[in-house]
This record gives sequence, structure tokens and C-alpha cells, in this order.
Amino acid sequence: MTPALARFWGLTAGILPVFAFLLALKLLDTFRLVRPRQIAVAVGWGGLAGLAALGLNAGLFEATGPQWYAKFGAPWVEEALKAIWLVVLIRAERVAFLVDAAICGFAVGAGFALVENLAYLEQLLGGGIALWVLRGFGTAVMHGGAAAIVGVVAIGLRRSGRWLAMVAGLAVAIGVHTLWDMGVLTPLAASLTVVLGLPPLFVLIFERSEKALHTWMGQKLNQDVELLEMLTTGNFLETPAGSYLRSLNAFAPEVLGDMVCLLQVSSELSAAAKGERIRQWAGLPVAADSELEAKLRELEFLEKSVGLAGLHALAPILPLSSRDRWELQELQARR
Amino acid sequence: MMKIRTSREGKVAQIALAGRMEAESREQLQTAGDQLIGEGATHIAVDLSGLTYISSAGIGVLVRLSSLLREKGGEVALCGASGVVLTVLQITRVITLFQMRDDTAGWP
Repeated sequence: MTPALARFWGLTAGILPVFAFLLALKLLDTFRLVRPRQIAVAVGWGGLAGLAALGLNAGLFEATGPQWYAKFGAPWVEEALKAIWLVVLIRAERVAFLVDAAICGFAVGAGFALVENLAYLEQLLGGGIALWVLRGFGTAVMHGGAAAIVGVVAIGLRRSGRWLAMVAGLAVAIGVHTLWDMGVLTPLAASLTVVLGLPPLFVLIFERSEKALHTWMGQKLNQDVELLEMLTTGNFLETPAGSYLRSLNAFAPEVLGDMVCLLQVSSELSAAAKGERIRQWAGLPVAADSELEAKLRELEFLEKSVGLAGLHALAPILPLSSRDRWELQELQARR
Repeated sequence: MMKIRTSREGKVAQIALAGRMEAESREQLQTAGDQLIGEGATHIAVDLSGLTYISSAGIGVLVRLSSLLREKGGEVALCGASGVVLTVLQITRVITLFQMRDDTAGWP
């Protein structure tokens, strides 16, 4: 085999299964929470993070000593760089469930691994194709898995506080990465553990997430419909939610009016988004809604009118959670 | 999308609104109101029975219309408000600025 062909097959064997696994994850995403473009951007970020890590690692290698840094320094740098994109996605409410967090995380890790494997190709191929497949593929899956862990833990624990959850996710990922780099297991055992252990873990996460998504959609749809019914009957101000709204008399009357409108528009949009999601899930075409654009613009107007303080005050009766925000972002992105 | 229909007999005019009066459709009402005032209307009944949404932007136009007519010795009456539109008018307290009627019969 020529060196060029060996490089080609080496890289293919090392990275192709990682992208195949990424594709499998996307196929498991029955609610189509993640769009292909999002995956491509995440892979791109992973590649950039990989390049940045190569530069940083080279400098820090010299400063701290290769042995110590490889085991205890590099995992911090690499996991932190990969996690940046997940922090951005979670902060921007572009990721709200375990499934999308896992897919976007794994995609970042796949991009990172692609760059890293290209950089270390020559070095690892010197040890033979078997070592390459073990180290190249195993490390690539580890990078994907560790980044996915950041997203999954950050979403899973977000009720404890968004930043705390993200730090916890990063800590777990650094821990996994450090164990990998310390060589606690032999390369074969480590690769087998990752390759055989990760798919069932993902299937479990996806099943749990899908159940949670079904429950949330059902409960929230009921809430939206109930709120809309209360508003349309004209008796809203006599309900407990209406009494609460009237008690907010520190706000100007026109702001209180716009709070009522915000309840109406956000419930309408929320119900419409769930309708779209259910149709998509059932494989039906998404029905065109001519009023949707206008409602989204009206929502922007109302949020500005009510202001940050108003939105906080409205929170007990307008639970616009990160999932609801994500849903609205999705609705806007699909237009 | 808001639909608007106007009619006038002498100094008395009617504006019927239907659909959603979102912030971006406020100019429709403003233009219709200005036109009727320009034609000599001093009493305008705004029929809200077909309206399903109104925010502060729309209420602002109604209040402005009312101020313009008061200067001319006229007024605005709001008719047929119900559901969430009535709720918004109540909580914004603008309800006190207008004559509220079930319909336009016998007015003014």
C-alpha cells in the first residue's frame, strides 16, 4: 500500500464511523429537533476548536511538561474549547432537550476529532493501521461523547441553575477525557468501552428525552388552550391569573394591556408551534399559517413594550421556559 | 390581518374592525379615522365586535381619535367589545374615555 493510500484509509477508518454514528443519532431524532445546518455548523465549530487546541497545546506543552500536560492539562483546554459552542447554543435557547444537546455536542466532538486525527495521522500511522483504528477511532468517539456529555448534563441539570449545570457538564467531560488520556485501560479496552458503551447510553438518553418531550408537549398544549379560553371568554380578569395581573399596578395601564396581549400572542404561537411539531412527527406537511409572521412581529413589539421588568413580573403566569423560547426560535427559523 | 370598513352619514360615521389589530395595522385605523374627520364626521362609532386582538398600539390610535373629536365637540363610541378585546380595554382603563355601547342604534 502506498503511503498516500495508507493515509486515506487510515483517515477513513478513523473518522468515517464517527460521522456514521452522528448520522445514526440524527435518524433517532424523530421529532427533528436538530436541523442538518445546525449539525454542520457544530462540526465546523468543532474543527475550529480543534485548530485552536493544537495551537494552545503546543505552547502549553512546552511550558508545563509533555507528560503532565497531556494527561491533566489538555483535557481542560480541549473540553473547554468544545463546550463554548454548546454554551452559546444553550444560552441562545437553540438547544432545549437532551436529544438536541447530545447531537450538537457529538457533532462538535466529531469536528474536533477530524482536525485532531488529521494532525496526528502521520504519527499514529507509524504504529500500524491497527493502532490507528484503535486510537484514531476510539479517540474520535471519546471526543464526540465527551462533548455530548457537556450538553446532556447541562440540559439535564438546568433546573439547578444554568451556569452550574454547564460547569457540572464540563467537569464530567473533563473527567472522562482525563481518564482516557491517563491510559487507565489499555487502548483496546478503552476503545471497546467507548464504542460499545456509548450507543446504548445514547439510546437511553433519546428514549428518556422523547418521553419528556411528549409529556411536556401535552401538558403545555393544555395550558396554552386553557389560557386562550380564559382570555377569549372575557372573564380573564376574574380568574386567579387575572387577579395577579391586576395586582401589578406599579406598571402603567398600557403595559398591563400589553401583558394581556403577550399572554394571548405567546399562547397562540406556542400552540401553533406544537401543532407544527406534531404534524412533522406524524410525517404530515406543515400547514401554512399566513398570520404567523405577523404574530411573531407582534410578539417582538409586545416584549419591547412590556420590558424586562414586565416580563419578570409576568413570569408566574407566562411560563416562557427555555423550551418555549427554543420552540419560538425554531418557528422563526423555519420561516 | 385586520379588515376595516367605514361608512358616514353627515356628522356620524362608523368604523367596523374585524380580525387582529396588531401594531403594524394601527395606521389603517388612523388613516380611516383621519379621513372621516376630514370629511366632517364629529361622532364616530367604532364597531369592535369582529375584533379578536388589540394591543396598546391600537388603543393609542383610538385614544388619539377620541381627543381629536373632543376638540371638535364630538366623541368616539366603542361598540360590541367582548372577550380579550374587552379585557384589554378594561385593564388599560381607557374604557372610561369612551362611551361603551352594545351597538350603534340610536347613537348619538
